[in-house]
Amino acid sequence: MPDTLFRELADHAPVMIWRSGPDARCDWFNTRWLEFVGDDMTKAVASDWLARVHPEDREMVATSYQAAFDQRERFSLTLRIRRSDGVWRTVLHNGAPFSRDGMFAGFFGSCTDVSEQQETYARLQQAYRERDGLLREVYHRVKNNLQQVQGLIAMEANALHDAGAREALTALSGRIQSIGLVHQMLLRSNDLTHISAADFIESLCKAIGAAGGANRRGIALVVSVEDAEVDIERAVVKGLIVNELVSNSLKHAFPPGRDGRIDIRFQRTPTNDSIVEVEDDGVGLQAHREAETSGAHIGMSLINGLVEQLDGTIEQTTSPGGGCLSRVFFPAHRASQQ
Amino acid sequence: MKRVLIVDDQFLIVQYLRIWVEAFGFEVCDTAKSADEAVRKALQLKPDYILMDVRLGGDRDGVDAALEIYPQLACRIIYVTGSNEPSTQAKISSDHPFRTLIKPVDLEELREALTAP
Repeated sequence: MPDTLFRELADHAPVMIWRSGPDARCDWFNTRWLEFVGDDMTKAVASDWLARVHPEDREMVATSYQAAFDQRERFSLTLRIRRSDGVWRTVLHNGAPFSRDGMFAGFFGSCTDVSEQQETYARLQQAYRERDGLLREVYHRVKNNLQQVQGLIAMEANALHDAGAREALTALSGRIQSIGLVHQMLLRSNDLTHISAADFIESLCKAIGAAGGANRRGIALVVSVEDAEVDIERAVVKGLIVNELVSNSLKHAFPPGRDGRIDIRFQRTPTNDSIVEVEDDGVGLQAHREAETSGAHIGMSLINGLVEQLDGTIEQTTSPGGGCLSRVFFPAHRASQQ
Repeated sequence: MKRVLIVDDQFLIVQYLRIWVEAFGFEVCDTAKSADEAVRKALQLKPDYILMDVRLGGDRDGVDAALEIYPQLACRIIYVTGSNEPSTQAKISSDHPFRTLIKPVDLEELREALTAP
């Protein structure tokens, strides 16, 4: 290719190009660069290009440039540089070493003005932060509103003398608490849509234990959860199911004076199905069944409906220790299109 | 007694609607939680009304189900949707909705939808 063609290519390529010798000093710039900085070739070669770099970026650029040069390695930097009209522009600066006759001969570099992209990126980041802030605010309000609902229920329960009615309202309050807890966990989550199953079940069981007087009655709640991320919708449903199962054990498995333990286990199979087990060493399955058939509680119909919502199955059997073992199987979640 | 099919993928919403639909003197003939299940049960049970959620688990939504049911069955479809976003509303109007209710459902609106001439 004739020399004029090379020059034409270098000067008209829509990018600024420079070259430096093995001493790291620039000895050639294309027309785009000269137009950008407003110098002719002689002046540009004589001047220190680092002086055009924004003072805040200068040290970083000098260090990186020198390091790349010493190592004879490619580099890629984003920095601010002053245009001929005095405006600071953000440029993407790439450089690569080249050889001549097998000897290191210096660096070629290119600069592209990316100021617009940079501004768009900054605006997007800002919008993203604002979205996060709003979402947190919404979760916060949902959580607070649910807490107020719990307050209303507690007041109502307090005014009642009928033990059965009070018990029903207390159970209702526990269910609302488990939904509120999901929102509390969401506030702590990174992506604001998924929560840690381990954190959630741990906190949930603590709350259920406190409401059912587990400590006072000498009943230990032992949680063992294989950690996984759960999305909001499924966390609400699974939380309600665990809430019912553990509350049922606390209510029916341990008559006054009987202590014991309740194990809550969460496992994931290799095919991403999940298994939830609640096992107590109380008086046995029969007590759970009798409580259900007495018709006073909606617990079991609630559990069955929620399990079915997630296409799951539930079985209740006598545990090895003679208590009640509930095993819920949830098939792997196939995210729907919406 | 007029018969109602309730379509929603959330159990607790279904229960809420069922309790009130029955309180208004209607029979809930069945419930469904996906578009395919809704189409199958609607054509089989021939309800007078369908309470149809828009967002359902699975690939197809409530409007898709309604569009398939509509030409084959004379029944009134009442949409019950959690979203009053324009895109959802636009999709609903591509069908022939009898009424559209926004969650949380106003019970008077539900009664009106079920008892309108």
